[in-house]
Amino acid sequence: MKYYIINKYLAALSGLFLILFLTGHLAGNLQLLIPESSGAQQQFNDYAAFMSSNPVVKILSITTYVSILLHVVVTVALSIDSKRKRGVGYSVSRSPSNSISSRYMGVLGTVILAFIIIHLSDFWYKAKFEGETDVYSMVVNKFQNIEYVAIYVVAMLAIFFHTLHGFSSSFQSLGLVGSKTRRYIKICGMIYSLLIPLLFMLIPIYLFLNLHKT
Amino acid sequence: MKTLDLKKKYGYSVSSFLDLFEKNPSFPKGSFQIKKRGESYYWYYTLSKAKSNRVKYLCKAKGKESFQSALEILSKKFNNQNASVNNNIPPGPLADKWSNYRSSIPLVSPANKKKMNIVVIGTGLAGASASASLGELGYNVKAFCFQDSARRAHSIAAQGGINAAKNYQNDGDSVYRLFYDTIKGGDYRSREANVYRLAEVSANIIDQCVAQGVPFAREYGGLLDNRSFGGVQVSRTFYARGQTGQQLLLGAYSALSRQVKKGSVQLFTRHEMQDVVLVDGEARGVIVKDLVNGQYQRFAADAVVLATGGYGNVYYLSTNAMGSNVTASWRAFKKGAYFANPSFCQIHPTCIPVSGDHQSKLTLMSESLRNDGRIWVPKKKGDTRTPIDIPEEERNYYLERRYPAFGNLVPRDVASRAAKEVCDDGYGVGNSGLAVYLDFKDAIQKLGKETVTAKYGNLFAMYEKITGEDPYKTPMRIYPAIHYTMGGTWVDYNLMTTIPGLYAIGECNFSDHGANRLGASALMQGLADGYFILPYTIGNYLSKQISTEKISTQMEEFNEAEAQSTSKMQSIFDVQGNQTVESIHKKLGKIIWDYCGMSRSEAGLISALGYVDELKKEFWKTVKIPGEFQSFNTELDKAGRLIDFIELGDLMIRDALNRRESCGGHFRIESQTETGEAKRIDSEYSYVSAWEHQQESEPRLHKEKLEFENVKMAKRSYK
Amino acid sequence: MNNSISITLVIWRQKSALDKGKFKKYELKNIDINMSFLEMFDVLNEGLISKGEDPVVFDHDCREGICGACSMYINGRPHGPQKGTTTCQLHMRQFKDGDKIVVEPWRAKGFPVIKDLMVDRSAFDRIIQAGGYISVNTGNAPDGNAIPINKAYADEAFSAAECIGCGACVAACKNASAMLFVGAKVNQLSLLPQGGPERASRVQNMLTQMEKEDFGHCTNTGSCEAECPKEISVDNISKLNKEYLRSLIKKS
Repeated sequence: MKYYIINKYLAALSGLFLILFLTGHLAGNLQLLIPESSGAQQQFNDYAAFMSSNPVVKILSITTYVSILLHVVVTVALSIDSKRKRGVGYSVSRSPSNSISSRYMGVLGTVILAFIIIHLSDFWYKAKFEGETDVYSMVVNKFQNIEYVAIYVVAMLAIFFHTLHGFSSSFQSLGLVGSKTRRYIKICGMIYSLLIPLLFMLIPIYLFLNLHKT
Repeated sequence: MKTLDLKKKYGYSVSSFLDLFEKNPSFPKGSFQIKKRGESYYWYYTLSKAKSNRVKYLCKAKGKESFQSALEILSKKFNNQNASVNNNIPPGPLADKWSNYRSSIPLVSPANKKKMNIVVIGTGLAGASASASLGELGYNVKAFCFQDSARRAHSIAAQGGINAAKNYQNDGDSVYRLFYDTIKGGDYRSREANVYRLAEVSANIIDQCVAQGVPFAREYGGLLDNRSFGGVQVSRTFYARGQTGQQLLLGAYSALSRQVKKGSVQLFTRHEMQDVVLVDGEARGVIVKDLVNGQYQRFAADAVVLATGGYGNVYYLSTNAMGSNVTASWRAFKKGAYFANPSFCQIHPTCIPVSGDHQSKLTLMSESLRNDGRIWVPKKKGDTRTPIDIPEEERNYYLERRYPAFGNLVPRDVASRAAKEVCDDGYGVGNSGLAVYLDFKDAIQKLGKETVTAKYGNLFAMYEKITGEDPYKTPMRIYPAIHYTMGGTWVDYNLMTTIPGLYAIGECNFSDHGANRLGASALMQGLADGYFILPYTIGNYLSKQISTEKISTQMEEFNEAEAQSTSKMQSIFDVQGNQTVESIHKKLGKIIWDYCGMSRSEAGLISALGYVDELKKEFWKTVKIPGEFQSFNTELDKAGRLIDFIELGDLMIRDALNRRESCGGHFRIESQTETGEAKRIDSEYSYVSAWEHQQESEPRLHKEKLEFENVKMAKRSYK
Repeated sequence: MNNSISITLVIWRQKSALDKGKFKKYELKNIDINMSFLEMFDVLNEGLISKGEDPVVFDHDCREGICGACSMYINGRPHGPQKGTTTCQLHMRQFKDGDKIVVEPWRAKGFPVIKDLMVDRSAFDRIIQAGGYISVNTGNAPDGNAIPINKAYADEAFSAAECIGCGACVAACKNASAMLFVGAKVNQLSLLPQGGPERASRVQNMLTQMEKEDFGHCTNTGSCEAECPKEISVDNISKLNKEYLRSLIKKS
């Protein structure tokens, strides 16, 4: 059993799926940027209702949960393992690497995991188990709180750094990078990790500044 | 039973013993013994004088007549020492010698191979390829290297390439031509039969290496590429950028690794051989030191193979690795293996010059640089202008002027000596005045910077790293340095030394390069010996050992050899003087370089003998070793190697003194033409000097006459 | 021009594998900048021996950047600050007067310290023994030109084969992973038709051995490539990942 490489494949595959998920999630959430005067509340609540009832979405969402779980379990296991491999540490260590984020994936991942828990308990849990149907108002109200917005901004920064390395790293782990494609994958990763978190970040700021009311 | 009674039982008689010595007063004195080995008794003769191989095996003791035969064998043994060496070259026409001989070598059956142990010392090209091939054949091999991995042997540093008579370029190459070039390049001081065999198997080496996955340079069509290399006019050199040695060694190392996995080869790294153990005059094992814990270990074997490389480090500064040493061959020499042509050392013309006293080694740059670079010195003595400020007409392109046919591509010895001459005359450049320019200005103009980079980029980068100068802008400075030693342990056609069961392969032996080695031939010889020659010829000896009783490492001979090695190291350790090993080594290097380097004179050599003798005494009085005796002690290991180098230095000088002619790398200023070219004296010196160690007196010279039946000895001219 | 500098060395000293070890400080004056880093160590050691102290033990042999023996972790970087350079080819002109230089051994579970700066890298040998070869006996080979090989593949195989086995990749990696070392060998042999028949078993066996030797996994930080004295590309790791995937699907 090639423990490492198989684990790396799993980490990469789950990571790539979550990258896809984020794109879809963003596409839906961008509806929050519609001004309230244009019927944003109705549209978003309809969308939320659709997402919670459609069977295809159901399968996708289960896959997402599994991916998150798998990603966490596999990478935590690998990180614990790699901590043992050095034995005695260096007193000075300054080898260059691809990016700063590649050295702190564990920390970044932990921040993101904490965020996911907060995020799910605040919205998903309430909608699913407390029968909240006006998801739109719930979201808008939540983001009137500056601390809450700050949490989101920090989390998005973490996602930015995490995917900055994670995007191209997944392709590398799956052996899909060659000397010619390396540059393009790197650029795609850069664009993705800039664009997605930035747009996500826009939503709480937009709502906090009450721009949806204008 | 009392010893005397036992002796008498097998026919011992004092009167016949005395008789023999009356008839042969030169025989060394000693006494007869009878010893029990296993179930049987054997006759031995022990010399009265303490000597490393004082006990001589005679024969099995069986019946009253056995003492008579013991006497006969003894007198044959002593008489034999006076005979000249037998090279065992098979009869027949040159081209068929090897193939006929190969098919006539007795075979060892697979079942018996499994029972036979072979010890291989060294894991360079020759050692690794031999270990792997012997392991494949089914022998039990134990391979030793002093480095931390077999892959680090110094073969790895060879840059240029490997010759093979493939004639892929259709430029008229053939086995005969490669043979002829090697004989001529070696200045007619090598054996025809050996060299022909080398040329013959050269093609197989390439096939073998390609099959192992060695990434040789290829053309766009996917076929192997060749280049032309120093001193020859055909393109027969296969290469892998500037790292051919590395790639070939990694190929041999991978073959070795495969056998280690299979269990047929046991690998011992960070182990250094201390002595060969002789039982009944035959090599039957080794004493090895584990460098990490300082413990001595014993290994018994049916045959021992030395593949320990050359002894260029006797000069202190050379292109050899820091650890390269002569210890294994030297200790074998002291046990009775002859040492041949020790003064034949090759000096490589394109090395980076010495930058200061701190210099620990020299770095070679591939000879291929001379294909496009032009060598020159200023026409004015002591010109201190920067090279770019010296106009074209004030430059002396001395090689092109002196040797119009070959120009900058003359063989290594010629190019080196010419550089030394211009520097000695005061035209040298750089701070030390010991360097000449190698200029790529014209090549860059003609071929473009890109082509030059593609060809020599890595060499230019290396030069810049070491010197801090950019060779694209300013000419390189180069100076000759010791690079390879053609001399080495004497071997016969089977690659066996004068000790039965002890073999020497690769640079460690003397066999194929005569007085000068051609570029890209060292890799060829190492691999030829290891892959294609030794695995066959060793059968000749081993097939006769099948019935020999198994050797135990508890035997007296092992005790004695181990005690000798440890007591020698202990006495070095006990000196505790005030000089480091390195500083004594530097002194040795200077003596040998000054008097036994690029040119040698009678007076210089005689005085050098004295200097080396003094240095030897100095070593035994002043060497300082820190740390503990039996521990990881790098200084102690270095000291053990250094004392062997000092003793070798003495032999080199004696050899150089004896050879009053100039040939190849050996230039005696007494023997030169009016124009200052080397003058060979075939009528007197067409022989291999094989030196035999003597316990109390000076080493004894045996001459192996060289016969040239297939080539006409000609003057080596590159004009 | 002033050609000499003074430096302070902080060197890891450890008597044996079992000793705990500690840093020790040494002052060196008048170091010629044309010296190589190891020649500077020679000067240090000559001084130590003269004082009756134990010299600093370090691996070194060819001193021309090809044998891969030298292995010093200098100021936080394997083989020191210069790119694409082994310790023996690093020269003192890369340092300034008054510099403090910290020298440590390679640190990895797979490379236990033997003494001072010398580590045991036999794990690399065992990884090669697990499958880093083409199984061909001496004498079995077809003609060298019997199988033409695309020049691009041959060149790429060569670039991978340039690895000198020094272990800088492991030393630099935050996970002490040997993936670059393994990847370079696997890629070299799988690019060549001769290596084809054993492709699947080779990658599997070598990776199993790598894990057995206690090297970590790869998190694609790229430090190995940045510190490799032969500048071997991380493409080899990507290819290794692919080769393993391939070996799971195709058994040969």
